[in-house]
Amino acid sequence: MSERMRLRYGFVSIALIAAVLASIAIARAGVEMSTGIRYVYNGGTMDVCATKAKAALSAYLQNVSEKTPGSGDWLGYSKPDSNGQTTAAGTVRCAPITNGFVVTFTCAVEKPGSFFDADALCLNLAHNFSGKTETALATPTPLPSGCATTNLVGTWVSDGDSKLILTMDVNGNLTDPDGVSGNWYLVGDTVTLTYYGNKTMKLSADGKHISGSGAAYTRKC
Amino acid sequence: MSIGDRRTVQNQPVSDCNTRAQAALTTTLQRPDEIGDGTGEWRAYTKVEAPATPPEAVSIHCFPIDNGYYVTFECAVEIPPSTMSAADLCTKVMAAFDAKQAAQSGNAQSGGAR
Repeated sequence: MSERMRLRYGFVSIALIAAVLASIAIARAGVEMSTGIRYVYNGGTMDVCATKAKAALSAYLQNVSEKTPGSGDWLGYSKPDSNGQTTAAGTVRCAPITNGFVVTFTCAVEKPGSFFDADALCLNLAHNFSGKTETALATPTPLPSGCATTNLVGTWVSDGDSKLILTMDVNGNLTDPDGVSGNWYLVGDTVTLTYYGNKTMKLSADGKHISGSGAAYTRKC
Repeated sequence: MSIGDRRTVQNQPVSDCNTRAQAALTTTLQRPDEIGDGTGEWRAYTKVEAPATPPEAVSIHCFPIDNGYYVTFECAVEIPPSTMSAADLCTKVMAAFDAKQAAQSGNAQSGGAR
């Protein structure tokens, strides 16, 4: 290999490594924090603040607890996601002042990861605390289910071999019981399955059957 | 997420809290934002290159009381990439807040409103 060729391969390698590193950096999650909502109540007690703080956190989070009994520092976490990770947390902190109390709201969410942002969570905590109108937080889009004609998400059993079951997910992937993977694609009623080669098939009007290219499957729904 | 300590400081104006908060956050993370001018609500993130999302965040609340001020700290981290826990981050920020040199630096920049 000539020196020029070595240099060229060297640059290509560096570019590939840089691209991989960049993609890893982009994929990494981080933290988004909301702070700045503060209420001052004249005439309230710390017990009132504690009750409201616990109720507000419990409306949106779980495992709500006071940092130490009587501290007025309340904390809650979101339900763990499918990976067992907590993606959101909120704090409500009560402190006594002359003739009342001051309360602050701070929230943190994982991004990407949480379906709502930290400001939305904190605003709802504050509104729950104060009795103002709350807005529903964003929730995950439910997975398609049933025999829809707009997607192939679900479990499909081969008409010729009941042990051959294909599981198709929302991202267009499919897997069989042996772990062999492929892809599905649907345009109108035309199905393209990439599974041991490409197969062009037709989806039935009821969304329950696909057939063509020498294969046929029935969806469990 | 970690709830840091709360402190009540007597015989000091809330401006002392704001100066310390800015200095502590600047030292530990990067220059903070004040959430609304003059509110005493401060927040800072770890410095990262876009489009990465910062893995560490801290907020400090300064609130005036009768003859002094009240200050609280909250911290949140994503592990990885952060290598320290939220509690450790709060400990670090609180130590910076308490450091005399932070209080006396006098050169902290004003935070921008969000």
